[in-house]
Amino acid sequence: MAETYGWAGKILRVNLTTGEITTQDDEKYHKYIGGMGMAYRIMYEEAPMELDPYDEKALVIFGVGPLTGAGVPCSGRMNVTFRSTWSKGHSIIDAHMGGHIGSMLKYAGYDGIVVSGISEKPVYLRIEDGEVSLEDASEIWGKGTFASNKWMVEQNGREFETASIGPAGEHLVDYSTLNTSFGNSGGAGLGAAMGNKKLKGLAIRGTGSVKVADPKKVLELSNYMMGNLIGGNNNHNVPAQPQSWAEYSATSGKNRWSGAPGRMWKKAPGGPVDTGEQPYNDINKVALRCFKGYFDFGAPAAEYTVKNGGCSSCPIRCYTEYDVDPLADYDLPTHNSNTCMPVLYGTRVYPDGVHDFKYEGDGTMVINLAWSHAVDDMGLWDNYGNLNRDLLWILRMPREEATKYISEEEYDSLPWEWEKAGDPRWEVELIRRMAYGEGDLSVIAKGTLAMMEKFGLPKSWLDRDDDATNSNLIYNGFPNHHGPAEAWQVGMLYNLVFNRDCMIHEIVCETGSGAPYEVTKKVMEDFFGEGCYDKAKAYTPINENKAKLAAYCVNDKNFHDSATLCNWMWPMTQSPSKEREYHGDLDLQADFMTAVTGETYTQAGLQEDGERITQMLRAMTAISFQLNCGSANLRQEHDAICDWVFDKDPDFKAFEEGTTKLDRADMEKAKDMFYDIFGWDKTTGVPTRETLEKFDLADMADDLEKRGIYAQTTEAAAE
Amino acid sequence: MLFGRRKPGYTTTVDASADPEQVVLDLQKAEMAAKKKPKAEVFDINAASETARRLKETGSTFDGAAAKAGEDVIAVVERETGELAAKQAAENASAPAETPAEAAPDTDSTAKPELLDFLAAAPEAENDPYADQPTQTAPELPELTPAQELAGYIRSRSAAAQVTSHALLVTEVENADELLAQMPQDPQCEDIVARAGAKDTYYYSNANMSDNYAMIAQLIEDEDLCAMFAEMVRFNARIYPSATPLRYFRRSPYGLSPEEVEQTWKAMQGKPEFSDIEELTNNQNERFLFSTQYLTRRYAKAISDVDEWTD
Amino acid sequence: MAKTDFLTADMTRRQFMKISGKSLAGLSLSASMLSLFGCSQSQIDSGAVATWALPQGLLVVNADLCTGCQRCEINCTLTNDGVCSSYISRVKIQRRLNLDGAGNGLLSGTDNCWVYFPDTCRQCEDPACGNACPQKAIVTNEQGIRVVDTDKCIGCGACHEACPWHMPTVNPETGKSSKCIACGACVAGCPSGALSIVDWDAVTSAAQAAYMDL
Repeated sequence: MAETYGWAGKILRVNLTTGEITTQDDEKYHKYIGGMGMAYRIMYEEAPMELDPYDEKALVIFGVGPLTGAGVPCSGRMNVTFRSTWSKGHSIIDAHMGGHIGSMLKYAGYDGIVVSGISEKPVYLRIEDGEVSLEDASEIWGKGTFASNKWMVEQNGREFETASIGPAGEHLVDYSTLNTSFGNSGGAGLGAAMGNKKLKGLAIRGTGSVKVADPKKVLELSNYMMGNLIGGNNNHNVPAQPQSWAEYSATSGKNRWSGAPGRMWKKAPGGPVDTGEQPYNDINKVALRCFKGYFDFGAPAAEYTVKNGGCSSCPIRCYTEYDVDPLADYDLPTHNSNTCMPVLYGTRVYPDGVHDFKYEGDGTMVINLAWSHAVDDMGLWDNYGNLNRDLLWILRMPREEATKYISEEEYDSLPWEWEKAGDPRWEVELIRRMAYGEGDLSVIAKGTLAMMEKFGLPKSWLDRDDDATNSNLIYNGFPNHHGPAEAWQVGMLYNLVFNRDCMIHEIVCETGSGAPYEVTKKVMEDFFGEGCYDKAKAYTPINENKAKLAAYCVNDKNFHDSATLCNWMWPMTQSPSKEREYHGDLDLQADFMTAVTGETYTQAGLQEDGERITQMLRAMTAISFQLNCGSANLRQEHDAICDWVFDKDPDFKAFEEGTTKLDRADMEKAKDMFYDIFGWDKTTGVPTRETLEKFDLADMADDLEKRGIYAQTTEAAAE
Repeated sequence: MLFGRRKPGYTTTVDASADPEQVVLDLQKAEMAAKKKPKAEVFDINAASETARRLKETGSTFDGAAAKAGEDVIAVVERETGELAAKQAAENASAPAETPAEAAPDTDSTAKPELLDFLAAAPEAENDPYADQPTQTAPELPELTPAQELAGYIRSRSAAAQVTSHALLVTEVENADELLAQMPQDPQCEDIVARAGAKDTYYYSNANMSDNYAMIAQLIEDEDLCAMFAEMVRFNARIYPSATPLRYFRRSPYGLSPEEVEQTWKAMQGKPEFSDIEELTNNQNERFLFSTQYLTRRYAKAISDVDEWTD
Repeated sequence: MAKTDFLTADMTRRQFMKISGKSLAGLSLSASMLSLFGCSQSQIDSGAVATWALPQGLLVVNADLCTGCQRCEINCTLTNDGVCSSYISRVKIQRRLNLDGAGNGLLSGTDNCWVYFPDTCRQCEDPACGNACPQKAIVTNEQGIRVVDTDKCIGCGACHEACPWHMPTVNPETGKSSKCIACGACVAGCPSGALSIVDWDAVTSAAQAAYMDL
């Protein structure tokens, strides 16, 4: 194996059917960066979309990249690629997870793990540097992720990082996750993809290192980033409350730079810790900037906070670690932590509301943290809140209406007195039923589309204007993720590309920051051109720069999941520094790639690398849609937009000040521009031969040709 | 320099249960009491020694004697490590988990020896690993002029989020006015800015404090809550633009009580000079103020409403 | 006792050398000293705070502030080894994160699951690592710092075994042991201030201030 910097240089291949474990030099995948990009190429070459997602030959590909474990701030991510069982087209899909396991995989000497086959009995994959084995997991099969991870560490030693699926994955529940140390999880059905293979988890210890070409430069760039560019979580570049060094703050008091004088970790063992002021150039206070609990729940969060936590290498600690002692009264775990959906949506399943527990206004937080621990323990995914929204839709119905969908017996078996009382055991019981696939109601955890089919709901069910129970922007089974409400047409466009919620934060990091509009607009227009950045709820018609920005976001995110970098933090678009006029440094990720790998990268080059992945995704999506939906016309089948996006806020017209609604004709024009930028056929949204060849993907073009997808394009154009 | 610089700011931790001023007074009292006490008070260093505590806890007997005596070190290490592991395993099986909190049985601060007293009384340390290395000290700074010293005082207060009133300066320094007059000519004082408030002039260092924060600090010092509300509501509407939640004034650095906020807003209503300030309630029942000089009610309401949001 | 014990930075450092590497539990600190150390008396009382007298200042470790990001390990190995690693880092946090063997850590399932903090080299007065080395490869260099002489080190691991906290680590890629040289890279890059170095001038001033007449 050639000496390489950044990349470990090899991937592991594990066949669970035969038990065969081999390694492979991975240099040929370096042009796909790693992580997502590498996995897409492997998936395309080895596991055609014809395979059923649960076929023995189906792959689950864990991937990290050259920056993972290389010391780059916010690089503790791992991407996992597999096949969707629940979103339209059953196409290629990713789970993305944080924690400490991604860097540990690199330290053990691997850029990825390609898992194929199905084991006869439950196993876990044990990796200790060059010693790799499949170990019996029957002891933990059936156990929750916390107990399972603990068991694997106890069995193997405290220097192991582990990840485990829970009962949801074991029971092939489509909404299922793989969970690492505490609350970090990869969703999208990864639990079931592993459960189908009888692969309970991973335990990894690496005593090696990631070689970096220029360690001094990596340190210098890290220091430059932490002292000049980085903000709070989501790279919000002004604090939530006025701080003496800062010109601006979020007037609402709510953004993710939420540490502030008087906001304390009140349950720290040695007494309260005041998060205080964090001057933007003081790198020793960066970890006190994000107080995610305060952002999520306000003052009650402080009462239960012990400290911050998060992922390897990241100075922004977006996990709040709580001791929610009122939960002890219900025999539920009190030490809970998460940062994302699991702590935000538990109250959705309480149509009658929640009550305070110990402090004024703490009801939402206590209920959400009970939810968080239960879903993480069960390994249950929420599809970015669709689980909760779909549950709310039925739970808030009167009994006679709800029993049109689930049996009276099942309805009456639900512990409604707990719902009425705001008892956290209500949600835990619902989660348990979902995770074990019990009852008709649990179809909700098989996916929004599966639920609609079972309950006989028409496609127009997704067109409803009801934001509490419908956030689906398109008809494919997954919801809005920082779409039009935060990023106008740009947000709508980047929500069209993936086979799950898009996980793109390039724009919401700016729009959610709370900095003055004119300040951020200047930054964005200097980087992305005039007219690219609309004012909150005061949108303008589509223009070329907005369409380009949307394409940039998609490519940039794909680079992040390949490198790997955290897309909540990267790229460094804005900065908290007045001296820099709040401009970040978009080139920094390329500079890190250069310093780490010793090869020369530019931001433009990374866009191209990211776009290569976008094109692979689009080509494979077209193939899947042809196989599973009967048509590869992605413009019609994949990218159609739900009515509520255009019909909400009936008192407002699109582009009027005060609304985020979009305009149908304008959006079709936006798609034309977007497809044009990507080199996709305007009629079908499929990458043209010329486009694929430009990215050295001629084999995919040949494939599309052979499958008659290009012929379909010609037919559609003629219609 | 490879790593960033530190900037003085707030201290990171506080005992929230106690009034900070009282804490200082109590500690001073304790210090004085300690000085008067005879030094007979015995402090067991082992109780405070992390090394000793951990050695005791692990039951380690390894003290380097083997190496000194020229024995086969590796054999001895292996043997002792094995013994230690066996002992730890036995202990872990029976003993409950340790917590750092258990390391400190004594929590009554007045009964504890003061750090500096303790250090002065303790015997010299042996085998200082850095005995031959010079202790690093800050480079000698050139002598400062009185004006520069005063600027330093203003600067340090700015770093602690405080503006410095003219009234305070003249009570601290006799010729404060003279020194303040010298500052504009001195390049080393160019960061010192004067800001006129309603009652006094306030000084701050713009290297440590932003102009906008100084504006807020000045408004707080002026103690005219109605004027402060109007000024900040207009500022927020003009600059961001955004409506201002009433709750905004309850947060740092304003820190007003809910009653003060209500009384202030009530007092402003009906006064012609505040006629542009209006109230709205968003879709989550939170109340906001906005200025009609910069925002229409319809748009102010729209941008104050919280959309269904996710992470 | 008199303020003359803390007249110069050098004198102050010698005073703090007496408790170097030890928890401050059991002592009371003046308000100015607490402010300087960035900690509270209750944190001192709870055993969260320990100090080390280094030439460049007083190293303060505050367990309550550690958020487990591993940047100390990253900065240590990038600075000293030119690579990025956790295992060979001279400051160690990863091994305490999940289960530390003493009932703490994220997966412990106990009240102490949020208890994790970096282990730093104790810079022992009588170093077990150096004493154990059969090659006498842990030597004091011209700056007075104990370092591993890589020419002599045979990577036997005696230092690792001898240290009660197993701080020195044999790098499996080079076959040489690594030991903390108090370079301060971990401290300088600690984003939460769990590791900090207070300069001796400031400690001296605070000590003198504490002895001024009240």
